[in-house]
Amino acid sequence: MREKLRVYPELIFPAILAAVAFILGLSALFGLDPTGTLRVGLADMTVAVLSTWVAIWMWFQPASPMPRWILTGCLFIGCFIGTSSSPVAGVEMITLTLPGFIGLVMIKNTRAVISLHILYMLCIFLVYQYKYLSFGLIAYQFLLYILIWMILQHAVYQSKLIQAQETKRRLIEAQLEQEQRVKNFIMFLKHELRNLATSLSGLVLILKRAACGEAIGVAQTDVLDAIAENTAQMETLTQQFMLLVSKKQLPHTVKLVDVAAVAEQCLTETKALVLRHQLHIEITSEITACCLRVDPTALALALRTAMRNALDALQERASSAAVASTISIRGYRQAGFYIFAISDDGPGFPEDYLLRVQAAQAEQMPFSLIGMTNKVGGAGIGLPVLFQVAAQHCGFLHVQNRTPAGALVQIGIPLA
Amino acid sequence: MSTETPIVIVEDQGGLALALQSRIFSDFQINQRFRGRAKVVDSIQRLREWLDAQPVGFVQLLILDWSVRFGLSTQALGFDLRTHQALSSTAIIIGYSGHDEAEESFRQFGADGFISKNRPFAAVADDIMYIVAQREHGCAWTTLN
Repeated sequence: MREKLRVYPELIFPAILAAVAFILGLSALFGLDPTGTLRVGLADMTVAVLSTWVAIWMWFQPASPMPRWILTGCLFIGCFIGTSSSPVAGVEMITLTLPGFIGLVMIKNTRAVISLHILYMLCIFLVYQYKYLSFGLIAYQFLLYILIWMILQHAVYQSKLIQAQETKRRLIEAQLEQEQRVKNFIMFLKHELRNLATSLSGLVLILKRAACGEAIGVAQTDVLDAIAENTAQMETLTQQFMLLVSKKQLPHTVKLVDVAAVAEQCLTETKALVLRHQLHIEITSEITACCLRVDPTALALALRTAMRNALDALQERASSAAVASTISIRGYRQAGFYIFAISDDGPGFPEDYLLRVQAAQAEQMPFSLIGMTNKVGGAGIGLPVLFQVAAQHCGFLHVQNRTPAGALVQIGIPLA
Repeated sequence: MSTETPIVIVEDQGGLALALQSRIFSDFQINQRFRGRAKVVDSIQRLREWLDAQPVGFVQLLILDWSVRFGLSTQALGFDLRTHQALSSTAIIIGYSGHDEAEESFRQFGADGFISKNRPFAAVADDIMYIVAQREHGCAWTTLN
């Protein structure tokens, strides 16, 4: 409400008019005003009702010019009658100036209001035969109009200036936020690569010691497995990064692929992760066989990323044996698309996170999602990767929460 | 649960944990001082479970990564680690991370020292022993960046 009052200060005119007319009407009707008659009281109450109606109209439809014109028109008519009928001397100074002044402030269309005012003055001139017009009054009105016009111009200029400053401030804030997210993403990459490099150098050192016949304290097969895992992580990270910096067009590696086989491969990897970390997660799948023209690496990366995200969402709960969690992957044809639906029964996405994802999708700006994460230590790389893969294949990505709990990610790839 | 090692490594990067475990095992000085093969856990939850199962005052050295599974170790360790019954009164806690912010976080957490992952891995055993020696000489905090 405060915001509306700030933006539409003109509301004050119909409001004041309604209040004054109501008080005058009451005074006349209840005999508090000795000069007031029943007719005047009823007329005042009618004005009060009409003004209230106009104020309400302006409140609910602030952009509509109609209530402003109605109010201004009524003021012109009222003042025209009031000029001759008022017993108060010198009232014409007000009645000849007020409607134009209020019209200018409310309608902000200088030319139209001044034209109307000139027409009004002409009517006064013709009907009242010079009675209320004098050179001084016309000069006074002329100067008043110039003053009002200058004030209005200045107000418009100030308003534009404030608006421009506000737009600039928002733009800078958005840029800073984006820069921060990219910075976070780079920090994540730096950290991950450093971790993997340190790990690999340590593992190589172990193998060197083992080759020299020294005791290494761990099984050599574990070391080799760890090297393989590190290499796979580096490969995934590189693929994700390459995908994000690539163009939207499909790469040359597009071919006819059995999507069920790709999904099964990702499922196997995820199940292996679950086993390795001793997590209590049940993974179910229901994949309809289908061959699609896709980039198999990108598709596998997207599915792996989506499943890994689901796994991350569940891991904390799944680490304890008390609660069993579920990840489900479904692949099916629907409305010209082959849809992969990956769902879990975890905490789901925070509402504000979902809103920001939807906004980024609406603007076709997947990169604005980079670095936006809902988990501690996350890089905010998952969703941009999914978005990019979907976009590359002219498909879609839907992210939503499930009822009563959990998250659902759908990646749609066109069948044709 | 094994009750043979007084050293715990909290590290969620499997390869790095394995390398660290092996490096500690094969270092003569660490073996002389602590004995035993280090235990590796990948999350704070598992650390808690493991600590709860250990005898009183058993753990002597704890090497703690900062960003581990499910969050930051210094934040996730809501309880006062030093007062846990499984930790010896002279237990040494060393932060091990590549994050720039980790050092200050570990210092506030009450760790005895910090080793950056930017340092050559070959020197990690020497770094650990250096911090142990510094602590034993009364130095409350040592950073190796």
